[in-house]
Amino acid sequence: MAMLLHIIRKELLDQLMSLRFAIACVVCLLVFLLSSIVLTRDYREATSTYNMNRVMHRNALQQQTEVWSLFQGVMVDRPLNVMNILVRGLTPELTESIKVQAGNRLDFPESFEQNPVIALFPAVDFVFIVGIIMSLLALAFSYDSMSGERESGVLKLLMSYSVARDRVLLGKWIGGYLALTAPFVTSFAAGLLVVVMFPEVSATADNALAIFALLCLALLYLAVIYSLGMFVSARTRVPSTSITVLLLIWVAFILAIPNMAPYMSAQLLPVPSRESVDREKAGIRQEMAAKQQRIIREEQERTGREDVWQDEDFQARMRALGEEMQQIEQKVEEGYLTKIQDQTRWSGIVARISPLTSFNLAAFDLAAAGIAQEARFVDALKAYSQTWQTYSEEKQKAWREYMERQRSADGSVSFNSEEMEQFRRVDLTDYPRFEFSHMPLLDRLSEIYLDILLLAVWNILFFMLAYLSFLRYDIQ
Amino acid sequence: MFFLTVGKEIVHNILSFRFVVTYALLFCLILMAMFLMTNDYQRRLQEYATADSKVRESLTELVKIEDPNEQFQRIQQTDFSALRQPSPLSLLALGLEGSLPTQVSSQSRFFVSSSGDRLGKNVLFDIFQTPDFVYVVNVVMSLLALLFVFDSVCGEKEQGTLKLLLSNSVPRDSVLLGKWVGGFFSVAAPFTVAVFGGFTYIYVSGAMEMQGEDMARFGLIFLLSLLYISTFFTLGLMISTLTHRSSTALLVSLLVWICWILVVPNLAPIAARLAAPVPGRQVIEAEKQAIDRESQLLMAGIGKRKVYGDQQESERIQKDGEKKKRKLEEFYQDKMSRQIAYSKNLARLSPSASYLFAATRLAGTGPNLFDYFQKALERFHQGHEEFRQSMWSMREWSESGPQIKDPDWFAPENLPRFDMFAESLTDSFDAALFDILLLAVFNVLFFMLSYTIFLRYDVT
Repeated sequence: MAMLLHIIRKELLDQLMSLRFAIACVVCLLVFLLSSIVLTRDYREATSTYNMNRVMHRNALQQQTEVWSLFQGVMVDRPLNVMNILVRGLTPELTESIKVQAGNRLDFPESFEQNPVIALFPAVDFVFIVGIIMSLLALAFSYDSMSGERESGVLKLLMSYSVARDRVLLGKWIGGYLALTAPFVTSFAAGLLVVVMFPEVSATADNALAIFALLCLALLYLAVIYSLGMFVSARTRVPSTSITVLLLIWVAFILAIPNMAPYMSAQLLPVPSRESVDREKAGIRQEMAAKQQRIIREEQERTGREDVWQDEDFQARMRALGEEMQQIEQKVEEGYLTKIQDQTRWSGIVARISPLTSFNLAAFDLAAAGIAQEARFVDALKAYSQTWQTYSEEKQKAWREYMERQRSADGSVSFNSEEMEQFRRVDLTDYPRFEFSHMPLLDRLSEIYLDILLLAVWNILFFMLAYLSFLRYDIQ
Repeated sequence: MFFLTVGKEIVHNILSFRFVVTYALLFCLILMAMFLMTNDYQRRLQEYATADSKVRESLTELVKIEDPNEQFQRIQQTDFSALRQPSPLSLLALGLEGSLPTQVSSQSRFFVSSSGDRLGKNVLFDIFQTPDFVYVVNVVMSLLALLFVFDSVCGEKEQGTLKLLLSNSVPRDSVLLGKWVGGFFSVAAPFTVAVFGGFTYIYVSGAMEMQGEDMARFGLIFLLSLLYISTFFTLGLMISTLTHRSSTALLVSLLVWICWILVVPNLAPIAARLAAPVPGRQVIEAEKQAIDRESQLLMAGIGKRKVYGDQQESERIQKDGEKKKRKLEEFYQDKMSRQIAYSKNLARLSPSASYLFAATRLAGTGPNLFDYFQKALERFHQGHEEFRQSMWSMREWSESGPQIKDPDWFAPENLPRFDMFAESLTDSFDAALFDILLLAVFNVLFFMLSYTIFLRYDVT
C-alpha cells in the first residue's frame, strides 16, 4: 500500500512538473471561462427575449376580445432551461414560440432569417469541451505513461523494486488521472462561478445535483479515454508511436464514427422523407374521396333519390369507409415511424462504438435537453392543447347556443348586431396558462443508466487490456 | 543539394510508421465521406425527382380539365408547390443546404414543423457535424498535417541528423525549403490520390454531371483544400523551429490546433451575436402591428370628424404607416447584415473558418444561401400573386356571371417558378477570393517566421 502511494505521488509530481500540465491548465481555464462567459450572456439575452415574447403573446391574446378568435389558438413560449448554458442540447435556439391550437395541432415555426454563420459551427459548450478537447488532453497525459518511462529508463529502475506490476499500473493510472482531472475540475468550478454571478441564473437543488452528475459523467468519460491511452502506451515501445496510434484512434472514434454512423445506417435502412409520406397520405385521401363520390352516385342511381344521406344504412356505410381510410392512413404513418425508429436505434448502436456518443447522449438527458425531454415537452403541449380546447369550447358555448337559436328552419342564420356585440367583448384574461416542468433528476438518471454502464464497461475493458499488456511488457 | 533534401525528406516520411497509418486513415475517411455523402445526395435527388413528377402529374391533370370554368375553380383552390433542387456540390460541402426546406408552397409564407416532424426523426443527424469532405479536410487533415511536420526540425536535432546536414555547404533557407517541399509533397500526394479515388466513385455513380462548371468548382475546392493543408503544414514547421524537443513541439501543436480549430471559429459566431445584437423577428412584427393599429385609430378619428371622410388625409396616414414599416424593416435588415459580417470576420481569426467560408461559397452552400432562399421565396410568392390577378382579369362578363371563354387560357409554363439565384463560377470565386488570400497570407507569414527562427536555430 505504501508503495502504491509512492507510485501515485511520483506520477502526480512527474505530471505536475511537465509542460503538458501547464498547457492543460491554460487550455482548460481559457476554454471554460470563455465558454461560460459567452454562453451565459447568450442565456441572458435569451431570458429577455423570452420575457418579451411572453408579454407580447399575452397582450396579443387579451386584445382579442371576439369569441371566434379563440379558433386561432394560442402562442406558447418554451420555458428556458438554465442547464442550456452547459449543454445546448438538441434545440438549436434557446427560445421558441409554438402555436398551439385545439385538437393537438402544434406548429413549430421555422425561420430562415437568422444569422446563417451560427448554423455552420457547433457551439462550444460543456459537452463539446469535455467530449472533444478534454479527451484529446487525456490522451496527451497518458500516451507516454509506459513507453516514455521505458525509453527514459525509469521503468527499469522502478521494476527493480519488489513491487507487483498491477500496483505500478494502478499507481500510474491514479496519479496521472488525478493530474488530468485537477485542472479540469478547477476550471469547471471557475466557469460555474462565472455563471452563477449572473443574476438571471437561478439554480435549484435539482440543477445543482444535475451539474454534479454531469461532472461525474465527464470524469467517467475521461477515465475511459485515459485508460485507452494507457493501453496503447503499454502496447507500444516508443512514445512517438503511441501518440501516432492514439491520435489516429482519436480521430476515428471521436471525429469520424459518431458523425458517420447515422449516414451509414441511413444507407442500410433507408427511410422515405416526411414529404413523400405526406404525399402518399394525400393520395390515399384523394382515392377515398373518389370512391365516396362513386358510391354516392351509385346509391343515387339505385334509389333514384337525390338525398341519399337520409338513409341510416348508407350513413353507416360511409362512416365505415371513413374509418377505413383513417386506418390506412394511420398504417402508413405507423410504418413510417417504425422505419425511423429502426434507423435511429441502429445508428445509436453503431455510433455507440465511440464512447463520445454515450457521453453526449447521456449529458443531453442529464441536462434535460435531450430526446426524452423533447418528447415530454411535446406531450405537455398536447395536453395544453386539450386544456385550450375545453376552455375555448366553454367560452364559445353561449355563442354557439345563440347561433343555434337564431338558426331558422331553412338553415340560414339571422342575427342582430346589437346582440352580437356581447360576443365581441369577451373577457379572455382567465385563459389557462401553459405550465411545464423539466423531468425530475431521478427520471433523467433512469434514462441514461445504460450509457453510464457502457462507459464503465469501456473503462474496465481498456484497463484490463492495459494490465494484460503491461504484464508481458518488455521493460528493457 | 535542394533536391537532395527534398528527396531525403520524402523518403524519410514514406518509410515512417506514421505515413502508413495516416495514409490508411486518410484514405478511409475521405473515401467514406465521399461515399456516404454521394449516396445521401442521390437519395435527396431521387426524392426531388419523385416529388417533381408528382407536381407535374397534378399540373397535367389540371390542364386536362375541359370546362374552363371548372378549371378556373380548381386552379384557384390548388396549392402550387415548388421544389428546390439539391445542389450537386453539396456532396462535398453540405453547408446550410440541409437546413433549408425542399418544398415551398404558393399559399403559405410560413414554414412550420408539426410535432410529428419534431419527434419522428433520427436525432443523431443533428447532434454531430456532417461528415462531408470539407469537414474531413477542415478538422482531420489539419491535425494530420501538424502530425506529419511537428518533428521535422526539432526531431532531426534530437537525432543529430540536423547537425550532420548543416555541416554540408548548404544554406539554411534551402534546407528549410527542401523540408517544406518534401514534407508537403508526402502529405499532398496521398491526399490527392484519396481525392481522385473519391472522385472516381462520384463519377462512376453518376451523382455529378461532369459539366465544365461543376468540374471547375470541384477542382477549385480541391486546390483550396491543398492551400488550407499547406497553411497548417507551414504552421507545424514554424512550431518545430520554435522548439527543441519533439515532445514539446507535439504538445504545442496540439494546443494551437485545439484553439484554432475547435475553440475560435465555434465560439466566434455566438460572441458576435452578443457584440451586435439584433431585435427578435417577433418584436419587429409586433411593432409593425402597432403601427397598423395606430393608422387604424387615426383613420377612425377622421371618420368621426368628417362624415364623408377625407380621402387625402387617409392616404397620407396610410403612406406614413407604410413608410414607418419600411424603415423598421430596413433597420432590422441592417442590424442583421452587420451581425453576420461581425460573426464572419470574428470567425476568420481562424483559417478553419476561412476555409469553410471559401469552400461552401464555391460549392454554393454557404452562409448566403439563406438570403438567396428568402429572395427566391419572395419572388415566387409575388409571381403567384400576379398570376392570380391575371387569372381574375381573364374572366369576361356574361349573363350567368363572370366566365372564361378561352379554353386554352391556362398554360402550366406560365406558372411562376421557384428559382434560387445561382452564382456564376467567377462570382463565387470573386467572393471566396478574400478567404483564399487570407489563407495564402497565413501561409507566407508562417513560412517567413519559421525561416527567421530557423536562421538562428541552435542545431547542436
